[in-house]
Amino acid sequence: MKGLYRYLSPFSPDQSGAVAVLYELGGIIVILDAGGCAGNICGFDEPRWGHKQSAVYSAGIRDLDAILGRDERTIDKVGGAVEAVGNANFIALIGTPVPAVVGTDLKALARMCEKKFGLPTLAIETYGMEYYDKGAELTYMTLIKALEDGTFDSVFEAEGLPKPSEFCKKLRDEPPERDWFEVHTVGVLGATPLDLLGLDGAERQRARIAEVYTGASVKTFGMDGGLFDLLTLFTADRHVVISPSGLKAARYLEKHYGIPFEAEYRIGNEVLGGIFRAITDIMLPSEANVLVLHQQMVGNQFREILPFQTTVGTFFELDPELAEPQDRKFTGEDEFLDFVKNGHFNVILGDPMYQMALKWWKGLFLPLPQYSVSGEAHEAREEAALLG
Amino acid sequence: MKPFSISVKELVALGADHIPEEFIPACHLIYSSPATLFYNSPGAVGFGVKRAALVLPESAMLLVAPNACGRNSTVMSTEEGYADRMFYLPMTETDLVTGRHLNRIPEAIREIMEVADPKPKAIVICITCVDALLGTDLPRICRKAEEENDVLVVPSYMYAIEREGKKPPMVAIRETLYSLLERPSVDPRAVNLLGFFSELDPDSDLLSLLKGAGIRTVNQISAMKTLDDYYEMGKANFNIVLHPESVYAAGTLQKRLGMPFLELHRLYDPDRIHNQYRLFGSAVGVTLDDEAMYERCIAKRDAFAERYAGTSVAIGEMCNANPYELATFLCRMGLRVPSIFSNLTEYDFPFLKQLAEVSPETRVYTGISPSMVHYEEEDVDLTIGKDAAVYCPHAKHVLWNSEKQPFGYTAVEGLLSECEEVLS
Repeated sequence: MKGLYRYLSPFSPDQSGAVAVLYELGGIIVILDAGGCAGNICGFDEPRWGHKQSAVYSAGIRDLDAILGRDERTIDKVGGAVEAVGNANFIALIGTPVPAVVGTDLKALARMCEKKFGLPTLAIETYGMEYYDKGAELTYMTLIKALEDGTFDSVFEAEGLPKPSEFCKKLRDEPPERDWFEVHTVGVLGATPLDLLGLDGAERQRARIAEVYTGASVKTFGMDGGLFDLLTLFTADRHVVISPSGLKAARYLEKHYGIPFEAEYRIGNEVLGGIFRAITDIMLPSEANVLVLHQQMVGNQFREILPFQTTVGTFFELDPELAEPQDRKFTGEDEFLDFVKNGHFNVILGDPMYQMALKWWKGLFLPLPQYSVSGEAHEAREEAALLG
Repeated sequence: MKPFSISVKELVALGADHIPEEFIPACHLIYSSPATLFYNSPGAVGFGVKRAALVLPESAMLLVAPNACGRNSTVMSTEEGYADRMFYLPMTETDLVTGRHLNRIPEAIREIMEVADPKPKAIVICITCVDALLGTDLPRICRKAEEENDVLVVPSYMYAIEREGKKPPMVAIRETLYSLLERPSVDPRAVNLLGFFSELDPDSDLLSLLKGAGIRTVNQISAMKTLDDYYEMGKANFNIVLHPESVYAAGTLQKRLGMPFLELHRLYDPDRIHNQYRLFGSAVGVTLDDEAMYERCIAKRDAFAERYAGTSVAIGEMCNANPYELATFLCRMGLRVPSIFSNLTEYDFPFLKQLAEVSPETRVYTGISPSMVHYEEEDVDLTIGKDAAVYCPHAKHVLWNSEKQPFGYTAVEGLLSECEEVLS
């Protein structure tokens, strides 16, 4: 039956992707839910929650608040948190299924908060029904637009930094000349814990990119970076997109600011070598027909480096420009199972949770955990530990 | 900035009718502290609605909800071993408008019956906040699905949005669990224990005392292996409620089947336990001979007090105890409790008043307060409760939150033994 999940269970939703991008930016993050969504986000989709503090709150919406549209109660509650936190950079209102069903106007709510508390306020219109990468993509774009339209001007100015709106306008009106070979600053988009291989993924990506662009300063957006690092989005000489969640932002920045980007997730030699050996120990490279189940950039990198016939399959976004004809985005479990049944694959790289749906499948399954699939159940603290 | 806290003395002076707003979730944003996951989210930690519903033997669950609502099951069901009994029918934005997801439930059940191994005898359908707001008539859908499939279909509700309502999610699921019981006959020597989703510690004195008083059968839903075993619970003479969230379910059974109930509290002060057993015995008309157990417990308590008087303890709410009652017990032994991390309801006030007599300056923090973002670790020797361990990571920890439910004198002795183990 289309749509029924018999073996797999839900992946990280859009609202988790939104929070992942905002988590370290010093804002008050308000999940507009009753309590369960915030619990899921902090407890199951945010590996930083246990050791890196962030002001993530549930709005604690109750039935009558939703039915009667008592948005002013939510605003009053946000006011309490603004007072309690004391030094927030901004407020972000994160949509969930509850505001979606009652048709809450998040943007209007954000305007009211901004007016009442004098803090930049973002409306992230997630619904809890898409996957994390759509939420992260939306949040990157919301941040970029907010920097451009002056939403954050006062906060940057208070820090003695240029007003982002003027800064961006100048860059758009008088784009700096860029030399393709002169790369001093690199921005990495799509770098949330939900996108990365291992919790040290952002650090590993920065180090590997710095090796390629010798001496360049590398900033990751989504992990290990604060609000004021976001100006680098507009000044970088190059962007590297390591997950589809960062693609839309990179394309926008290329179009409007002339910043070129490359889409590549640089995987460490330990992992690549380990997988190469595991496969070639039992078959010739020419015999291997590999299906990589992960986010697209990770899958593409395996195809790029390893000498096997490789297909990328994903439940998340699959950008057609970066895909090969055989690659597939699955719209449901049934489609995924049919694809594996008909694909004649003899090797699968993917999160161990997929094995629950593939008990019948005979082949070599190599675990490649993905936090947005199985969360902490198969979490790898370090990329090098991915293969167990 | 400092997090909100208030002394026990001040709380008692305010009284149960004037609980500070910081303790009331509806009055402010809810901070996502470790305790919040336990307290505020009906599906997040331990026995949330989904896992609790699966305590019904030979059942499977179909969660019909937005993707976001089922996310925690991804981890929990794998870790806690119920993944093969969970099925998901994710909703789309179109479903929100058309409600067509509800029409697909009978077909989904048909498919579950084909693939599930072992084949379930009951399918619990769980819906969430969005269907609460859409006004979904789930019992009607379940009846229709039952007609089309040869299986019991049971409605359940994970309505976080009704957290402060008459029937919060964890109260509602307890009612659901006993909703299939009938009362064909009455066995005067059988009782049901209501309250926990996992079994009482088999060494608990409550079980041996009941046996000693002539109760031959002590039923617990978590111990039932089959649906037929579960139906036997309908024959029990009366219900013993061990957790306040089961009072509603017990009341429903009393009304629907004529099964009376009485409550027993999980206490840690041996004198109070002794008194509670005495009162229970006189209410039921039996004698519970707990003298030897009581004496042994007192001896353990006194030895512990002599060795550990002056030890400072922080207590959280993620433990198998009422933190206020437990704090009172520890303070009476001569230990110090500088802080408690817990929510507070009017039902806690009797315990709170007793605590105020022995430790009026104990500060109470609430994990849901927005200001808890500023909490800085306090210097204590020991924590009890999973959340307290997170707040005070450098102390020694007794989590005391096992699924095997402690109760009675053995709970006291077990807790003190664990404390001794980490302190020595």
